Amino acid sequence: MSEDELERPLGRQGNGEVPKEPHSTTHIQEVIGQGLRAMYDSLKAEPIPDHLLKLLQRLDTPKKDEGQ
Amino acid sequence: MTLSPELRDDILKSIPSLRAFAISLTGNIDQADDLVQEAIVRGLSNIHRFEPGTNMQAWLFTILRNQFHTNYRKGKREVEDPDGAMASRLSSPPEQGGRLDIQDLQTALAQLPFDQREALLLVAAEGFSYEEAAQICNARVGTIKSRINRARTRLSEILGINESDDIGTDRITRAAIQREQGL
Repeated sequence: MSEDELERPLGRQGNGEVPKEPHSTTHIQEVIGQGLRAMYDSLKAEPIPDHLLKLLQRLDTPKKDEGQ
Repeated sequence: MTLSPELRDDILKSIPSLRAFAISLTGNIDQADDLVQEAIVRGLSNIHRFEPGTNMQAWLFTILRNQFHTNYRKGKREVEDPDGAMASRLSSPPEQGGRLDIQDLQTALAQLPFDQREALLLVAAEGFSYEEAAQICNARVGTIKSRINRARTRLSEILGINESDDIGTDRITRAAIQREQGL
């Protein structure tokens, strides 16, 4: 395993910050992060409820007096 | 008003994330969908304030989060125990390799104070940066980091995660341990 991989932050902060916590904390961070993302993935995979789609569809009909 | 196709697409693309955040925050699907709807209606009626080129998703998250806190302060709705409707809706797949059980995680999340829960969800689940989460929560970056640390510590206590945990027998965690040991 490369030095680079060892230094890779485990949380997905997206700002390239390397956590300075001890290893056990990093492990906890990874397990929890993985669980949270799995939870989110299953929630995001649900279809968008109709009433929310209709809300946006109502805005799709261009008004005739607008030139665009 | 007519929404530009770009803005409409941005809003549409944000909805699954907004729902996931709202459901995880409230532990209640109906309450979450109401929150998402309120956030979109508010966002649409304030769309002239949105600065094109900035992050639509973060903007809508801010609106939803503020709406949640307003409702909660007013006692408009009780935040319900996620054990009921929420947990049964989630239909998590069977355990694979000892990963965290999603329902256990949801139940544990519900035990966190709101400020810790929202910070953890924004950064660790949704993938916002600390800076973005700080803006959404109207808090300092250091405050967000500290809330997330406390949230992780509390969750690991509730879920019984530690370095020599049973969860450590699965492939992913073994890989993590190997990484820690430099193997």
